[in-house]
Amino acid sequence: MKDEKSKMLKIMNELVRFYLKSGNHSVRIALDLTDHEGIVSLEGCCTKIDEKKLEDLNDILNSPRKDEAEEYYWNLVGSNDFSEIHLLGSLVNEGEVKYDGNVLKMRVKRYF
Amino acid sequence: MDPIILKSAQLSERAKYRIISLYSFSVAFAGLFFNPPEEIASGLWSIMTSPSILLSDYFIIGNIGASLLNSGLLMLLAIFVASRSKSLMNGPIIAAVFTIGGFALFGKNLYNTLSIVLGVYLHSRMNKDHFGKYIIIAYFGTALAPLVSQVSFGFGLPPLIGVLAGNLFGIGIGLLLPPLASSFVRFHQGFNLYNVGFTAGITGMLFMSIFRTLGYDNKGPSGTYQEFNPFLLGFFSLMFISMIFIKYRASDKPIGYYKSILSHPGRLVTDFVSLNGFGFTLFNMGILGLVGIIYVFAVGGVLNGPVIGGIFTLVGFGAFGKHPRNSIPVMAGVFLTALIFGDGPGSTGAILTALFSTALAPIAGQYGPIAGLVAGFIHMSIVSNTAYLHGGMNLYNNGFTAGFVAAILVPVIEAYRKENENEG
Repeated sequence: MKDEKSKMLKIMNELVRFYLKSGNHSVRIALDLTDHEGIVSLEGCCTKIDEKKLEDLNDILNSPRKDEAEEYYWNLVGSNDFSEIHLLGSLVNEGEVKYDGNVLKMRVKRYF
Repeated sequence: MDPIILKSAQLSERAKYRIISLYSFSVAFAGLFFNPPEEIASGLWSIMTSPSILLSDYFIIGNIGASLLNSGLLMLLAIFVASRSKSLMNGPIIAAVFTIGGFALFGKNLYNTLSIVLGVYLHSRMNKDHFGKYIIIAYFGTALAPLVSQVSFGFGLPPLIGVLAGNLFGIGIGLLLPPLASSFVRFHQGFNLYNVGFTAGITGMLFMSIFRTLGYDNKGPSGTYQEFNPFLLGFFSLMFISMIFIKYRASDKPIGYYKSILSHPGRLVTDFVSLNGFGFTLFNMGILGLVGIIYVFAVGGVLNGPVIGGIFTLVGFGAFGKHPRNSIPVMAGVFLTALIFGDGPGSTGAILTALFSTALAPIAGQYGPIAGLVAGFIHMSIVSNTAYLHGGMNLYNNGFTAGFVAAILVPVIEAYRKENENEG
C-alpha cells in the first residue's frame, strides 16, 4: 500500500484536469479505496467534446499496466498543467468512459 | 491529446526482444574484429580497473575491440535482466539499453554497474515490490558507476578495501536513487528526458562533497581517441540504416505515418513503441543515428568512445521522446553557441554537448524551434559549470544540466504564453 493513496490522488487529479480542459467546470468525484484496489469515479456535464478523443481515452485507460514506468514517473501524473493521460493509462488496470446526453462519466480502477 | 495508436502488438514481444538483442550482439561481435583476443582481454581488464570518471574514453584506456565488447555485453545483460523481470520491450527499456551500451564506451563496465543495480534490487525487495517496477531507475542509475570505480581504484585505497568500499557505495546509491528519481522528476516537469541524470548529479554532488571533505579528490579526464576510423563509421552507419529498413518488415503503414511520431512534443513519458508501433520507432531511431553521425562529421569531429556513446543515447531515446523535429533545434542552439562564443563546434566536448543537449528536445517539441535554440544556448552555457560539482562521478552531466535548464525555461515560457495552449 506504500504510496498507493498518493498515486490514487494523482490519478484523480489528472482525470479532473481532463474534465476542466474539456470545458467542464463542475465535476462530482468519488474515490473508493480498499486493501486491494482503488476506484475513481467522476461525473460532469460536458457540452462539447470530441467523441474521437473519448474513444482514444477509453483505449488509453484499458491499455496494459506498464510497471517499468510506474516508480520512475508516477509523480508526474496530475502534478502540473500538462496532460499525462498516457502515463495515467500505464498506472491503471481498467477504465470506462461514457458520454450520454452531455454527461461525461468516467470510472478507473487500479489494483494494488 | 495525442492520437493513441496501440499498434505495437503487430510484432510480438519476443520478436522485439530478438531485434534489440541482435543489435546488442552485433556491437559485441564487431569488437572481435578490431583487436586480437589477447588485446581484448587485457583491454577489458584495463577498462574494469580504471576509475572511469567523466570523461574516460575506453578506446584509449582499453582499445576499440574491448570497448565494443564491453558495450555489447552490458546491453545483452540489460536485455536479459529486463526479460527476467518480465518488462515489455518498450520505449523506456530500449532507451535504457542503448544508453547503457553507449556509456559502456566511456564510463560503464561489467564491474562498476552491478552493485548499483543490486542496490535498486534490494530497494525493491525491501518494499516488497517486484524489480520490474524499478528497472528503469536501476539502468539509468548506472550513471553513477564511476563512483564505484573511483572509490575502488582511484582513491589509492588498499585493493581489497577499495573494492569492498566501492561496491558498498554502489549498493548505497542503488538504495537512494528510487525515491530521489521519482521526486526530482517534478523539478523539470518531464522536460528533461535524462531525469536520472539530474538525480545522479545531485547524488554525485553529495558524495563528491563528502569525499572532498575527507581529503579525496578526482584526477582530471583522460584523453579521447582522435583518429578517423572508417570501419567504425561503416559499422554504425549500417546499423542505423538497417533500423530504417526494418520498418518495412515490422509495419505495413505508409512512410507518411512518420509524421505522427514527429507530432509528439516528446515530454516524459512518450513511449513511441506503444504510441506508434515498433517498426516506426526503429525507423525514427535509425534516422536519429544518421543525424548524429552526419552532425559529427559535418563539424569536423571523429567517432570515439564518448561520441559514439552520445549517438547511441540519441538513438535509444528515439524510442522515448526524441525525433529530428524536436532534437535538431536544440542541437542547432548548441552548435551556434559553440561557433559564436566557444572554441568551435568540432571539439569532442562541443560535439558531446550537442548530442546530449537533446535531453531538452521536449522544449522544442512543446514550444517550437526558437525555444529549442534558446534551450541549446543556455544548456551550452551551463554545462561547463556543472561537472565540477560531482567531480565527474555522474556520467550524465548533460542530464544534470538539462534539469536546471528545463526548470528555468519552462516556468518562464509558461508565464508568458497564452492560457490553454497545452494539449488537452
